[in-house]
Parts: sequence; structure tokens; C-alpha cells
Amino acid sequence: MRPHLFIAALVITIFYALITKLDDLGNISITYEVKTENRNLTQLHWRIAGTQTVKHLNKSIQAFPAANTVTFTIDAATDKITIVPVTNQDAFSLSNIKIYRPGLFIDIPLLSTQPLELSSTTEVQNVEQISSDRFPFKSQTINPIFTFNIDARFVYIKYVTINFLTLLLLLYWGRLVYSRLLNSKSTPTAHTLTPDIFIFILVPCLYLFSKLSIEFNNPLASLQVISWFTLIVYLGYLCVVALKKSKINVFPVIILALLIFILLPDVSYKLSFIDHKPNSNKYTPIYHWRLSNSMDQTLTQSGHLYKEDMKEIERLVNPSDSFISDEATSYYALSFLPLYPTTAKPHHGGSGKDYSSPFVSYEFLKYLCGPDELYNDTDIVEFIGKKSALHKQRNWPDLKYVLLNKDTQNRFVRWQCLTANNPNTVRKVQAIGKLIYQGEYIDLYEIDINK
Amino acid sequence: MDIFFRESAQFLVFFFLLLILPGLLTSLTFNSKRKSFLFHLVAGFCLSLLLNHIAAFIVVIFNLELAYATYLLIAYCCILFIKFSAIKINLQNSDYSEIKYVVLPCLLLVIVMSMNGGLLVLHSDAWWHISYAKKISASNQIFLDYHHLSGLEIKDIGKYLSYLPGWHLILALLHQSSGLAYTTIWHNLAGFLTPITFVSYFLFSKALSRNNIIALLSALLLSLIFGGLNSYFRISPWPGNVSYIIWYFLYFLAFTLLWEFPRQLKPGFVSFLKWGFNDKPYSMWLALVCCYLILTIHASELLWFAVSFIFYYLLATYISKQNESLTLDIGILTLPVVLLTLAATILFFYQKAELINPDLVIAGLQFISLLIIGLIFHSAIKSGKTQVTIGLVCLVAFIAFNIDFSQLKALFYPVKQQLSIYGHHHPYPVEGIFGHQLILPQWEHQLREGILFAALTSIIVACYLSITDCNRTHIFLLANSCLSFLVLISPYLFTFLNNFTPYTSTYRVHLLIFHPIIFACIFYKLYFLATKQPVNQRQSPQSSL
Repeated sequence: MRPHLFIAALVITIFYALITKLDDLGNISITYEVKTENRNLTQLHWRIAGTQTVKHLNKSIQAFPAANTVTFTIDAATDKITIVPVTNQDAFSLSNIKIYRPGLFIDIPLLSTQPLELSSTTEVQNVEQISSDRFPFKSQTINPIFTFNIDARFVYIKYVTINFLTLLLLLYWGRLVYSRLLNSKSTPTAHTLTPDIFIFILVPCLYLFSKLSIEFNNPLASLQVISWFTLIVYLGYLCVVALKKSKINVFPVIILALLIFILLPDVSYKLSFIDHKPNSNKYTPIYHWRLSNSMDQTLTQSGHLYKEDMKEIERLVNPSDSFISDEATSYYALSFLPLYPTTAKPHHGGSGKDYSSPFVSYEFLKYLCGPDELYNDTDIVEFIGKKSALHKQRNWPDLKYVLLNKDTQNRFVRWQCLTANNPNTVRKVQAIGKLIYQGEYIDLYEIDINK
Repeated sequence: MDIFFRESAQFLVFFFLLLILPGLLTSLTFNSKRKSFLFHLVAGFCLSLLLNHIAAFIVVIFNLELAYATYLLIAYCCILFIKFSAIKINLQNSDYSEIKYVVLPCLLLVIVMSMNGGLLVLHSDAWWHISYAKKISASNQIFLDYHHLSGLEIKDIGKYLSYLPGWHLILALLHQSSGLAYTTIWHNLAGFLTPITFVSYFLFSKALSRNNIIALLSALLLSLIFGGLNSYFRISPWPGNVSYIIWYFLYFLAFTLLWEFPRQLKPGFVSFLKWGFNDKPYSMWLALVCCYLILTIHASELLWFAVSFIFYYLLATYISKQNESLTLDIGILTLPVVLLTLAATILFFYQKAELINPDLVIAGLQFISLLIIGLIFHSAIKSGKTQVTIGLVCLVAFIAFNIDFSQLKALFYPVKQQLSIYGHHHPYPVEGIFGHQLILPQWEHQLREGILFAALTSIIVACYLSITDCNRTHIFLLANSCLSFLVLISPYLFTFLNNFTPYTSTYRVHLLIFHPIIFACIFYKLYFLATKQPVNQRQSPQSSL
């Protein structure tokens, strides 16, 4: 082991501790498991070290048999925590209490997680122990409490030491790999020292990188990123040096790797290795093929299943009339039936626009889905009467039908309100028309406001 | 789910019968020269579309149902089989060497795309197109005299932008002949159109780069990475995406003709046409068929075809002296480019005559000024260094003037752009230097995911390729990637182009960033650089000439 490796490891560790503020790590996590007889609320109170400031957080928990694992993120500089497992008078169990402190260069749960035993509580209030395997405790009144003292005095030293040793080991291992690759002797020449000098160049880069990460308000993620970034760059550098010794030209390989790295997210998405489409609006449709896509999408998320219903409806309707329906069903019906919809997507409908349909109106939605207090049955009958008259006057297709979709699988139908899944809408449609076809997915009503 | 498997077999029969067989037989019958089988396949698809149109016209004229067009096509195929010996000889003479490159990816694409299917979710507009086809089929008309969404007569609507019925007519024919539901047809079309797209792109890339490996890599990258609408394989049954197949094939024909144009002939557009119709009549007629099909299916690809060659010409004028192919291309393209640019400028001012303002004047003069700068520079190369410097300064000033930096920034840092009430489907207005309104596209509308980071990186790569190896392939790729990106960030250029096509087509200028081909070229080059193989072992685009 050469001294410059010690120096490199030490400098990086100190920088790492300084830039990540290891002594005041921002947040720590408290996790515990609660089971309770009834649906309840759990609370955590903590006191900031050296002050009298006490903060608290709540979370709701489910009734047995659900096992509720609750995690609270609190200030790192805490010297006392109080757990309120349930806030009502109830039987409950409390177990697996753990404190997780981030800050290790490579996160080792055994070292970063500290378990808290119930026997180490400094104060227990309003708790009665009962002889039940399922629920060992019962709260006597509301808010039973378990208080623990937390000692964080040696954490800083412990973490710095662990980080230093980990880094030293990694550097030594990297150095060893490098020497083996080059078959070089262990004499530190200017050439063999290059990777270690490179580490020192990394330090300001790391600093800049961490600053940027903090700018984006994600210091915890930056810890991870910095760790992996350092390792990847260092090992990458060793690979480059090793490649230089082989018959491969290094520069093109690096460019090739970089270009592949740029294209990798796109390819990963299409091959279903990742689920989030890079750089795109999550609301855009799934235009790209993916290995994980199946025919079920077409079957359940389109109007394909309605074709039998549509065939029957086609026999019953007068061609060239118009109908009221939700946006999705309007398009599906338009493709199967000789009818015209009164709803269209904004860029397809609307008077005066390209591809226009002058009788497209969003008022139908307002009346048939709106609250009863605003639009009662009389209002709806009057509105439909006016609309029918307007259609006749302007020589537009007669307003004659309402199509209500019952599909619960198709999410494009589920989003809509003007469907048979909305009991209020069904009642309102029944007020203006009579049911003439009841299909597996689609119901057809004929508008009859004089009934 | 077995509905689709069962119906896929039925669909395949009709797809082959209507959209492959008639054209394939025609291509094998009437082309006596040795061609690759992949050429016959894509040419067959294009010719089948044409034959379907002709058959549909005939049955509509005689007031028969569209389904009768199928019988006409079957009869036509039977007549061609009389010349079976010619077909057999041409089949035997065909070049099958390229099939080994595409057969496996195509088979995989058929399987994957049959599972994925044509996109039928509500947002995809599939239902709009299906409704149009349904009304064509129901009314037995090719040109509807009423609007398919409202049933109102077109003469009563007034302002109405009609959609070209070329592809919807084919959908109606497929529906009437097979009896399958439109949803089934739409779903299955993706599985069979995607491999044709793949082959067509392979041919385009092959014609451009003269290299099978680059062509295969390009087609694979088109399938695997994000890009413009052409990379959206699930919307293959859209008219636009069908049009892309023909568009790529048109490029293939154009570049094949350019590479084959004899060096001893005087380079000029008229001599090129004369030579083409005398020596390569089949390719020339096929190119005209492609133009007709694009015009009747989606039209805007013809504009992009012209624009891509204008871009290529403009850049080639700066470097033509270094390369024989570029000099030749400048000779051939000068007349059409000058005429098209003049016509576009005059049309722009004619259409904007009533609204004219200083910003629109600048917008209208964009292409012509770029052309003038290019021509000055081209002639300056002969004169001396000072003129070259002036030309370069003019070009840099032109680019700097055109860039809207807030639009460029919005690509990386999405901001809430000024949305119209119609959301992302409409452009957002920006102010020109004189305070008048111009427009720019919104990155959110299908642009950002394609451009970041693949297409953007490819522009840098194209620069590197052009600097290290200045040839027709690289300059074409560089010109189109740079200038089409410039259009997306320049309100003046975008407003100018938007005058000739609806906005929903104008923002698709990004299709001209052919980044799969650029990446394929660089991967190929880097592989040889990395393995330090001698230059003479390379199969570079130039050496395979």
C-alpha cells in the first residue's frame, strides 16, 4: 500500500464529508411496524438535539390483518423520539423499530441501520401489556407513547472511518487490477501514478457535481450519484489505460460507448427494461412498440369489443341522424354506425375549425353530468328540446339517440362521465328518452322528450 | 385474444392479394433489368396501391360496390400470369443477396408488431381515420361530398380542409373484400406494414451510403431508437406512416439514379431527365408513381422530399469543389432548386399579400437569401479567400439571426409555453424583431422525445462525419439534420414553411434529421477506427462506388 493512496482516500473522504455535511446529514429515517385492531393513526414526535423544539408527523394505518410498516423522515440532529403507535384506545403491536442514517460512501445496511429494542425505552405511558400473541399491548386511554433516547455522538467519526476504509480498499483494488492488466512492477513511475493523480482531479468535479445536485433539491440522491460516479469514472479510466496497451484504439471505443449510452434509454424503453419513456410527456399515447405490450391493449382499451353491439344498433337506427354520447364512445360509434356524434375532441370539432362539425357541443356534458341542483330534469328536457329544434332549423342531422357505454375495463370510457357507469347520468337520460337496446357494452336510448 | 390470431390469417390473405401480389407481379413482368428482390417487394407494394386506386376508380365509375375492385385485381393478376415465363426469368435473375440482412429483423418485427398492433387507443386518431374509411365504404364514393364527422355537405360547411382519401380508400377496399372489422384491419396492418417500412428504409439507406451494413444498422436503429413520427411503428396504419414507406422508396430511386448518372454527361436537370427516361425508364416511371401516391395519401412527404434536396443543395454549394459527386449534384439540382425557391417565395408573398408586415417579409425572403448566400459563396471559392470569408460570415450571421434562444432553451428546460385552447396541437406565437406575430412549434407535441438526445447528438456526429469524410452521403445527412433543426428553432423559417402545409405537417420537418443513418455511419466508422483495420479493408461509402 502506497502513501498516495492513503492521501487520495483521505482527501476524498473529507471532501465527501464536508460537501454532504455528514455531521448534519439533513434527514434520517425511522421505520417501525404496527398492527392494530381497527383503522387508526400513528404519530412520531422528535426533539431537535440541544433545543426544546419538538416536531411531529402523522400517518394513517390499516386494521389487522394488514401489517403497517411506517417510515418517517426526520431531522438528523435528533436526541429523543417518541412513538405513538395508535392514537385511539385500541389493542396493538409495535415491532422492528429501526433508525437509518444515510451518509456512507457505499451503503451497507448493517452499518447504516440501527435497531431499537422496546426494552431500551426511557419512558412508556398509557400502555397496558395484555397476554395476546397478536396484540401484546393495549392503550389505556388515547395516545400510548414509547420514548427512546438517541445517541448520535460517534456517528460522524464512525461514518468517516468507514468511508475512508471503504475508499481505501476500492482504490487499492483498482490499483491492483490496473497493475495486473499492465503486468507492471509495483514501482511507482510517473506513468503508473496517473490513475491516482486522476483521483485528485475528481475531487473538484465531485464538489461541482454535488453543488449541482443540491441545486436540484435532492441531496440524498446526490450522495448515491457521487459514489457511483466516482467509481465508474475511476474504473473507466483504468479500462482506458488497459485498452491502450491492447490492439484496440481507445478514443473510438470511448466515443462508441458514449453514443451507445445516449441511445440506451430509448432502446431500453422499447425492449421493456424501463417503464418510463425518456424525455416525453407521460400523457402522450404509447406510439412506440414495446416488447411487453400485448394484444389485450387493443382488445380492452379500444372499441373492438363493442362490434357485436354496434351491429345490432346499426339495424335499429335511422341512418344520418345524430347522437349524444361520451367522447370515446362517440368515436367508436362513428366508426361502426351511420350516425354522427355531438361530441368530438377539441381539435376535431368546434365551429369554424378545420374538420369542423358545427353541432359539436360540450353543453350536453354539462346538462347530463352536472349536479341536480343546477340542471334538474325539466331543464334537461327543455335543453334537449331546444337543441333538437336547432338541428331541424339548421338542417343538421336529427338529434335522436343517446348511447351509454357500460364498459368498466376501457380506461378511456372510465374517465368519462356520460356513461352507464354513472347512475345519475342514466337517470337523467331516462328522463329524456326510452331504452330501445340493451347490449353487453352499449345501451341505446331513443330521445323522446314528449313521453 | 384468439380473435386476432384467427382473423390475422384471414387478413394476411387479403393483404397479400390486394397490397402485394398485383404490384409484385407487375414489377417482375415489366422490369427486365436485374434488380434486388427487396426492390421488387417495395416497388410491388407501391404499384399495388396504384392498381388498387385504378380498380377502385373503375368500379366507382360503373357504380358498383368497392368490393368488386378485388375481382378486377384478381383478373389483372391472372392476365399477368399469361406472361409467366417473363416473371419466372425475372425471379430467377433477381438479386437475393440483401435478403439475408433483413429477413430476421423483419420476422421479429412481424411477431412483435402483431402483438403490439396498430394503436387503437382514443388519443391516437385511429378512430378518425377509420370513420373516414367507413364513410367512403358506406357511400361508395372516393371523394366524399359530405363531412364524415357531421354528415353535412361540404359546400355548406364553407372552410373545410379535406383529408386526402388515398389510404382510406385502400382501408375501405380491405374492409369490403375481407369482411373484417376495421378494428381488426387496423390492428393487423401494423404487423405487416412495419416490415415493409423496415425494408424501404434499408433500401433508402443502402442507396445513400452504398453499404449493406450501414443500411442494416440504420433500419435497426429506426426500429429501436426514438425519432419523429416515422419511428412510431404502432401508428403504421396511419396515412402519414404509409406515405413514409413510399417516401423512403422515392429517396432510394433518387439516390440510385444520382449514383448511376454517367460522369461523362453534362450535369444538368434536363440532361438528367433525358438520360433517366432513356436509360432507366422503369425507375423514372416508378418515381412518378411514388409522387402520385404520396400526393393522394398524405402529400406533405413530397414537400419534405423537395425541401431535403434544397437543404442538400444549399450546403453542397459551400463545399462542392472538394468532391466530384457534390459538383455533379449541384449541376443537376441548380435548376429545380432555383425554380422551387423562387416559386415558394412568390407563393408566400402572394398568399400573405393582405397581411404583409416587415417580419413576414423577412420570413418570405429566408430561403432565397440562403440560396443567394450559397451561390455567392460557391462562386467565391474560385475567386479568393476574402470572398470565402464574407460568405462564411454571411452564413453565420444568417444562422445567428434565425435562432430563437428561448425556443432552444425550452427544449432542455421545458417551460409552460403559451398554449392555445387546443393544447399542443397548435403552434405557439412568438414576436419577430419588428413585433409582429410569427409561429414556432411546441416541443411537447411529439418533438422533445425524438430530438433529445438522439437527434441532437446526431447533428454533432454529422458534422464530424462531414469534416472527416466529405462525400454525398455525409453532406446530405448534415444538411438535412442541421437545417431542419434550424427550422424548428427559427420563427422566420418555420413561418415560411408553415405557409405551404398545415401546422400538423410543418413541425414534422424534424423527420429530415435522419439520425438512424447518421448513427449507423458513425458506428461503422468507429468500429474500423477502433479495431485499427487498414483502410483498404473498409467497405466505406465511397469505395463501394
